[in-house]
Amino acid sequence: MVHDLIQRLKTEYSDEGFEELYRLYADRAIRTATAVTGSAASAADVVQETFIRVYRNLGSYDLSRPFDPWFNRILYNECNRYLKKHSRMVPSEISEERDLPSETDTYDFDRHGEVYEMVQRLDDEHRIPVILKYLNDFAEKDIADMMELNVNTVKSRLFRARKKLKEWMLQKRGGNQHGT
Amino acid sequence: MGRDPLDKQLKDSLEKGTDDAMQYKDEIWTSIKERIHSEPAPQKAESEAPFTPRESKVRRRPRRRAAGWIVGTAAAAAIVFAVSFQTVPVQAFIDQVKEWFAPEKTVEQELEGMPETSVDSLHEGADYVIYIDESRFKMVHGADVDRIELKEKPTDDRYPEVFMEISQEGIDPKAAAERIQGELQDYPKVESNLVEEPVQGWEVRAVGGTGGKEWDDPVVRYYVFDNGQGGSFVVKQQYFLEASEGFGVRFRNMMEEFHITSNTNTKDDKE
Repeated sequence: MVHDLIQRLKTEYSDEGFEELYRLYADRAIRTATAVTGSAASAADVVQETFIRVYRNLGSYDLSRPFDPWFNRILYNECNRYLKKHSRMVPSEISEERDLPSETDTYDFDRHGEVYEMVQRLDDEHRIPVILKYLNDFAEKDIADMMELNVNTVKSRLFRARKKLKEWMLQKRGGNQHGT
Repeated sequence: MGRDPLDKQLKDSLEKGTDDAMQYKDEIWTSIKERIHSEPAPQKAESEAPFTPRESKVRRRPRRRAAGWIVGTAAAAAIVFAVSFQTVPVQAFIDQVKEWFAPEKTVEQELEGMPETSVDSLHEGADYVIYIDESRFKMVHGADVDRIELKEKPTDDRYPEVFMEISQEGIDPKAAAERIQGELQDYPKVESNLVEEPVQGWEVRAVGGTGGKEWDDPVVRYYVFDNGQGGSFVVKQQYFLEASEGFGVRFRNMMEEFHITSNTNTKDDKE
């Protein structure tokens, strides 16, 4: 379906056709960009730029190759460009002490919101593979292709990220139990 | 996705955390459509698809980025702009341009999540200058190709070769990029895109070996861009998959401060 659509667009551009392509990939792109950049407004810029690049480069797109990895890589590059441009201070290592949930927290937290925040506290090396895997159901191989990494590196980063998230969640849970 | 409850929790939380952004879906599409309509009409040449990138917008030389460079070349560039209108003898002018670039720059960059500072030195090639971290790399000038290679090569031959080569070709960037792409057909993964950074031109990237499964799969990345004289600069960067975040990023960042010094380009800069 995507293949036919792109072939059509390569032959003759139409707003309708490109919108169809946009609708197919927009949800995934917007969610990914939002999680990576940390804001819906920034994500809107990233997604817009991604589709403009798709538009400009469709002429050189090789129809014999799958579209998804090509699109994902453009999206990932745009996310990276944003992160670099706005070089937010990202800790190079996962800090044990930094802003860990207090053991005496007593508020009734929203668990989903809490987990999202925890993911955002991971450093980019670990955070981005987590977002790509769990938000998009990408296989480790696909993530490795996007990030130009060895599959084993991706696996190890996901393993470390999950381990850290579990630790934080356990601490948080313990904190609530003790605090309430 | 696995039986661990954390998997589901992560998926749900990421979806919930990004739900709000979905309200912008239509708005984003409207902006994309406006951007597309504001671009020059696609060329309708018989041999070219409607999506032929707007090369008319591609400038004559790569756009410079000061990101990460403490001592930028803004001053030198400004002088180039200002003086390029004057009628000075061509060679003298080129020599002058080269002198305007600081002999050394302090470079700050983030590699594999860690900030790194280095003092890079100016090196001159035919019609260009580039800054090199001489603690890691050396420049070897050849008749047709200049090569930036590791100063100290690893003794362990498990590591694929890492280098960057700079040359020029007498054909336009699009044709050169297509030729290179054709030459890389044996690589399992090849892609070619028009890019605006670190230079404005074509990026052709290929992954050899297993195509991305092994740490030592060779990666070649070409930047092909207008040399301002009817031909192209071709910069070939070679490293390996595991070094993508190290050497791959270093080489890319080096291109941020690649400057064409030929007279044609300096004149084009004023545009």
